Amino acid sequence: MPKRAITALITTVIALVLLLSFKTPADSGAAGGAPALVSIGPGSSIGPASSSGPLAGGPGAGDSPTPPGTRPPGTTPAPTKVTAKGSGTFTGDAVQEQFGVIQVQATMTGGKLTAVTVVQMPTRGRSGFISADAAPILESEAIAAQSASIDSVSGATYTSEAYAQSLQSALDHAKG
Amino acid sequence: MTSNRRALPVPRRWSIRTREIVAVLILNGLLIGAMWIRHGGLDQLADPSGWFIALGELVGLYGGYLALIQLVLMSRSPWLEQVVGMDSLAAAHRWVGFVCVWLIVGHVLLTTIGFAIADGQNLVVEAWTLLTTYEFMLMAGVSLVLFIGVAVSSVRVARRHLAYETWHGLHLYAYLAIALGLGHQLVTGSDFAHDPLAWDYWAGLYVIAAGLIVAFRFVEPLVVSVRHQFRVVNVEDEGPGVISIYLGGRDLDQFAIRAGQFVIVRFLVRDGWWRGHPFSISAAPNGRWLRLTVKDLGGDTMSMASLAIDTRVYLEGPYGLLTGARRVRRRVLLIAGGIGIAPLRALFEELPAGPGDLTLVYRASRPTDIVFRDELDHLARARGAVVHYLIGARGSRAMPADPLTAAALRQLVPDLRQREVYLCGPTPMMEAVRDGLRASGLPPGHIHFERFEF
Amino acid sequence: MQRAELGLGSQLDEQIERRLRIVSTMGTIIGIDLRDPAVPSGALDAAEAWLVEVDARFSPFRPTSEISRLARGEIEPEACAPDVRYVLTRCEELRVASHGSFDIRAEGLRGGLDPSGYVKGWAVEEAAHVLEAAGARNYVINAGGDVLVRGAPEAGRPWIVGIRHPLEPDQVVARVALPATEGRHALATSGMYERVDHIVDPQTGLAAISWLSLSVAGPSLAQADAYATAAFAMGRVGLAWLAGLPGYEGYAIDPGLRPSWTAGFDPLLV
Repeated sequence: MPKRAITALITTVIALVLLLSFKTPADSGAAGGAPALVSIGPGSSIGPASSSGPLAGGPGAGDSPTPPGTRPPGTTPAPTKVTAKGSGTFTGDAVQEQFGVIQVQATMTGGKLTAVTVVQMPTRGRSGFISADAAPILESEAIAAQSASIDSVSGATYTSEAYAQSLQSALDHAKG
Repeated sequence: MTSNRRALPVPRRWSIRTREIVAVLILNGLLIGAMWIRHGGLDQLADPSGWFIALGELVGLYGGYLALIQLVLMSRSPWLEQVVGMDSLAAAHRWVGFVCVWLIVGHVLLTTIGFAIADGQNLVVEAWTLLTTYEFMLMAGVSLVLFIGVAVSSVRVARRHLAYETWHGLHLYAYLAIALGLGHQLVTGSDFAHDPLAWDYWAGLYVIAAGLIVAFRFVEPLVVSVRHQFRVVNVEDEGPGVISIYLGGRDLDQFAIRAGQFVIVRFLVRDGWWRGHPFSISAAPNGRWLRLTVKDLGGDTMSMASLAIDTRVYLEGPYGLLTGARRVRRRVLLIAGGIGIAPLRALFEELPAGPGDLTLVYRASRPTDIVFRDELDHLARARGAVVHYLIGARGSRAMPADPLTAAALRQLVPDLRQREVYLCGPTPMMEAVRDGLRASGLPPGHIHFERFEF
Repeated sequence: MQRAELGLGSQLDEQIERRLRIVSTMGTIIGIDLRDPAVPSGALDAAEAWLVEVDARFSPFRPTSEISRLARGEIEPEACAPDVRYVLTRCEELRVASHGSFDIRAEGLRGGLDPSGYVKGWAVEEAAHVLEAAGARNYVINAGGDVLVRGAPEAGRPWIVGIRHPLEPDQVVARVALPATEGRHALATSGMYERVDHIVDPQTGLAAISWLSLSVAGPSLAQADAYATAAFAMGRVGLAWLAGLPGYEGYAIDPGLRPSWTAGFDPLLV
């Protein structure tokens, strides 16, 4: 086989491997499993700034840390006793969006929100394109706060108004 | 010559017709359009961005569909090849290919514009967002680039500057382009991501197309070649610049092929094993060997003369419609130009015909160009057939006028218009003959002509 | 890309009554989780109505808002409603305190005037005020990732807020306890969670990228919100600047995924 063909073949294979390893943000946020408290390595705390002004730096994160303030991940507090009431699957209102209707379903187990399922999502146009990709993420994010006894999560994300409306109504239904 | 030959297997006949195949493809296309409408495609037209998105979807659906049709056209499925013919399939493939790539380019532009309007973004940013934040979209982007590359390299201007093998190598990237585009269709395509039935259907189309290619382009030739173990058993000089290669093997009396057909052979030598040569058999199948007669066109055919005996051969085929299966009329006229004599020589031997029913007109520029003279004369005597040798460069004293005009041919073969005519030779010459015959009243259905440039 | 943000309570126990109100406004979702059964639902309605009204009057993305009209010169600052003037004054004070890193008037910001770094937090605080006027003492309000708490989710433990992993949307990297029995406690986060062009360093006009995420805890959500925005834009020195601000503590994650926090933030981490 001519050398050119072999070179082309090898180049193509390498390019393919690179292409297939490209991960979209959606891939990083794969749904499923209990989301975990993730330790991201030894951190450092800095003392109060000296009076020479804000440019006085502490040992910033760029240095190799000998951290006085290293904090190992905390243990999960024991869950409060839950009762069997408050289990079941509750469907929220269908909310009209620009390109369609969105409706979600909340599954409660022992009073805890354990799953969110998208029942209907817009399928056409821009919304449809987004929803094909977003459904798994919307579902996993809804329960992200449920593990490790976290009451709320700080850190902005994108929003889907209609999604949240429908989920709220599902939770309202769950309360009976 | 023919009396004590065992019955040899022949490729099966297909009773479907080209128009039926086209009808199925069109119906399937309408089904796709109906699916799009049922999924709410038209409902998007309420919005200005929706016009672009809707049109982008439609165009994308048909671009993808045509790409699958392209695969089927080149799959060498016998029910297609034996009904439509390799040369017509290649011509259709070329035409469909350009339409397909235009549709795909249109799909990308329309969809990006529509999304950009809906998002209030500029085109470049929107395109970047699409490529980097959605599953399979980067692959789809690469697919687009590959499709454009394949199309550009297939434009006539480009082909003139590209060696055949370079062009063919580039063309194979079309397979990759199709595979890379599938992900975004099934996962984010609005018609498939939310409708399991439509998903199954579309994936099913891919499975069918891929299955045909795998079965008839790869598995079948492999099985045939392994079973019959084709090897070069003899190489003979037929005349200046013309050689015959004899292929032997195992169970050749089980290999189904008709006179007039051709095979694509790869000689498994160190240098050039990847080249496939379409060669016609130049003798009727006899269950012992196949004879391929080729003209030295320079390049790799020169090395044919030095092929070693026992060289293994990988064979694909048989292909071709220039066979007795098409023959309806009792009387037959074969017209050969130059090396086109090869398949017609086989037909001259095999076609059942009584005395006076079979005539061969063999056109060549010089006497030394005539091959198989002894064989042809012997066959003619044995079968009561007629051979006319028309030798001489056109315009010379020996041949002042074109001997292949309909009028001239009618002088040689008075009942020309009642014959089944088979043509083989250089394309311009044969096209001229065909046109002349049609003009003289011969129904086109009785003129059989195969081009060898694909 | 659209994703939902929900701040939901962890235990929907039969013995704990909670009411969840979700308001979509100001380009985000605001979730109110109220744990006081005695507070009438009308208070939630009033809080919701307030938040929607703020959006109408302050959004730089609505052409009819007072802020937009102010930016176009259609009205004078003195002619604005009192709370608009209040917000503008506070923003000016913050501009000075942050050495220009927080500046609603900076070039390159869409609309010319963008006080949303302050307004969202301020609006939530006013909404909390509405709830407290009706007797609420135990609630969490999460406005697109900025969190304000009061009281406790249940007897015996404080509100726990997770800081989202900057790159993995369903993971948290730290748990912050916000004691709030004496008064409100807030946690605001600025970061790369959204498209980068939102946060621009006014001094350079370029997107700020020294941190992936920066969270500020303190008594006022509006202040925390503004400080987080400013410190994020400051880059490397932002955390040190925060350390010098009394009452407010910071926690930041750099592009190498290494966290740093001010000394005062330490006791909050659990």
